[in-house]
Amino acid sequence: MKTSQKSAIERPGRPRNQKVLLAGATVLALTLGAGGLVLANSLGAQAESTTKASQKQLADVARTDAQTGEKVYVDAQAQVIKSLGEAGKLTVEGQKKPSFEITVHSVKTLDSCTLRGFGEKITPENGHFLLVDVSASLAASAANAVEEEIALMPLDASVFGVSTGENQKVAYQLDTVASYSCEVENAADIAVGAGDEVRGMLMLDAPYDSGQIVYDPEKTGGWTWGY
Amino acid sequence: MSPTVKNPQGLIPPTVTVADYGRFTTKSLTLLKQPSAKAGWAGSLKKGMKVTVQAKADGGWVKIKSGSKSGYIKEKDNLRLAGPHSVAVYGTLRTGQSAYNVMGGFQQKEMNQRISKTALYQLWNRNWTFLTNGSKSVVTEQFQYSDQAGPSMLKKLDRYESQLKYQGRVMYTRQKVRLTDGSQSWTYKTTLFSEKVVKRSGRYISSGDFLKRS
Repeated sequence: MKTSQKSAIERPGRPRNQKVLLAGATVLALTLGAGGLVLANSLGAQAESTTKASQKQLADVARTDAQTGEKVYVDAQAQVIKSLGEAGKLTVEGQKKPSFEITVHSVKTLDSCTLRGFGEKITPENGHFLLVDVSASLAASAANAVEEEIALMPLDASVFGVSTGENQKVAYQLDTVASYSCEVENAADIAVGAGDEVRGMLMLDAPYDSGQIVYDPEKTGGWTWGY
Repeated sequence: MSPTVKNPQGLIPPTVTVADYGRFTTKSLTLLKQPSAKAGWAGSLKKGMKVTVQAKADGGWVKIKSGSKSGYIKEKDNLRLAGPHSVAVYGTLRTGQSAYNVMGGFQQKEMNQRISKTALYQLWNRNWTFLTNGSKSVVTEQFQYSDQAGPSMLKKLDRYESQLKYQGRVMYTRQKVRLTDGSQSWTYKTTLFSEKVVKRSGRYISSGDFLKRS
């Protein structure tokens, strides 16, 4: 994948030295593009103790929202803390308007769901289904950051995690076949593309029926909402 | 030019081996031991079964094989190119994979087949594999359903495969594809729109095999 231009994006509360590259698209794009950088950071971090690495991350965060000037809170898992209905934002350095926003509006816990097309009841593999109302937008300018790929940010179950509460370790792999197979009315698109806004429902398969839901495509720190 | 001579009654025409090709039975068939209406019974096949044609004989006879059964039938009106209730799957619906349980109720399953002129791509989600147009072939399994079960199964699968959308447009639709053995089945394949998304954003699986995607 070629990248014509690297776009430095800052997440309020994100380590300032950790640039997110909206390259290559699709999550893969994001994962490979941004993930490449993140991996480098992660490997570097392995040389340090976990505590040191966490301290470094937390000491180097953007402390205020570039758009509103409000204080940003980050937990010990490098997740920016949000309330349900409150947007997490990625903002290009030096700008105030976010390039990417994501909001978890509500989370409903379910014991089972209907197998799409087949009508049978199925149960979660990890313990609990979470039906999440989510919205996201990506600035049209994100398309300038890539050449052949499509600029987008993923919105499927594979980029979400859950924890039992703030500062607690995040569990991923909520994208089970059970969650994929659930009948979901008004299902969200799998990603939001440049210039688009998306809102819809998403099914996760989580080990906890309450706690924190996390959006974190790179698994290096994203945003978290209590549910 | 020598005059045309009809085969004497009871003479068994010689069988000529041909390159294998796939077809589906159009009705319940009786297999015979030799290419002759007077030959003995060699087995029977249900309507809608996938068969491999292995040889031909004068008079429109073909030797076919299906699982452990083989024998002769007349090709005309008994075999067809496309299976109306045949579905080719290449990802999580394959045998032993995570969504295989939804593929129940089939009357026949043919393993180790290949869909011609296609390619396989994977997006960021471990469960999402997409079949696109391509220059090679993709490993598939063909499931054959009966006339009774088939329409309902296709309707269920249509719904099951309809959820993934990008920019409000579905990523898969049910399309008829040709396999490398010449037979045709339904499969869930990218549209012109989603193929662009997948090819520009996904990872190409060079083996064409979901089980070897690394």
